[in-house]
Amino acid sequence: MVSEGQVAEVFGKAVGNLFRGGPANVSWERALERLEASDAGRVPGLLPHSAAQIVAHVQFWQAYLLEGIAGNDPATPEHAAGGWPATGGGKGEGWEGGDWEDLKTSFLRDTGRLRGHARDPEVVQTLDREGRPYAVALTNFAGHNLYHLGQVVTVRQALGLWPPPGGGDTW
Amino acid sequence: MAVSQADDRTPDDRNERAQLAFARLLPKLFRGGQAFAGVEATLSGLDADTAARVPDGLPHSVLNLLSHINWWNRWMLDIIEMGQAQPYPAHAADTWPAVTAADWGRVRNEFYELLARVDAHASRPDLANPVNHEETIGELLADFALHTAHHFGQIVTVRQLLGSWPPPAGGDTW
Repeated sequence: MVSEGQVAEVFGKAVGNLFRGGPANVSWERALERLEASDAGRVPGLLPHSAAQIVAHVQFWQAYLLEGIAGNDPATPEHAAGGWPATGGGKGEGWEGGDWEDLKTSFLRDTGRLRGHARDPEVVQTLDREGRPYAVALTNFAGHNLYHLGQVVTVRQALGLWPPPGGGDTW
Repeated sequence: MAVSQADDRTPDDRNERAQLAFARLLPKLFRGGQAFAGVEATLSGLDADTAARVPDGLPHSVLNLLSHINWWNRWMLDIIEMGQAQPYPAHAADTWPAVTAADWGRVRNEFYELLARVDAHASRPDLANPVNHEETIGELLADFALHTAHHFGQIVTVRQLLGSWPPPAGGDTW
């Protein structure tokens, strides 16, 4: 049996780092680089969501997990649509309003918080309200984040806005 | 830190349970189906010609994305099974094999064969051992589980752009 410290270290590195984008993918910071409000709200072609809507969706679930870890009892949406906050923008439209920068800021802040929790052995071993160690939820949410990170890249590609000025994930 | 439930287990119990939870999660992470659409549903109802189509403005088809996922999952498994680091490809383009519609069945089968190989490693007791330079087996598995998830999110988007989503059994909504 490996020691508690080893488990915490393996889990913390393996899952904690993934909240930023992970070593095998482009980072969130890079994926959102120079994506202005006017483009963030645009929904390309046959796609259902803009980049901003996807980020707002991921942020909804990040905030949900953080509430649970804080010991609160967040309400679970009745339907998947409840996890897609109403945002500005739409087909051929830019983001309405000045809150895109606020959304990005709170999103990246909460990504950092979840990374910190994943690296905290006490949090990882604490049971959630379903009786599972938070290691489970943190891992699933890291997967959810990366899944939608890939979609933000694709949305930007469909809008002709990829790679960002700092480059994509290529060499 | 608030504790959600009364917890009178010993630190060793807690540690073991968290480790087991992580080990059990790894194969599931490669397959999705928890926090996002599962891989089988995502690849279902897709014929070879649609799988090989690249939507306007995008660089890759579903087939390109899946063969790229396979390339890296095979690279990861080689490292874990040989127990030593392997060279990185010289260029990212090397990890995007040239494929045509005729390869669809083979590439899809390879994807599932590689997942079966992953399963054998997820529950091993040495997840904390370094294998790829400083990177441990557990880190490597988690990185590539989520690399797979990253590109499966893109497979859904490509299918949406081709008008080929949701699959017959439905997408990930409720």
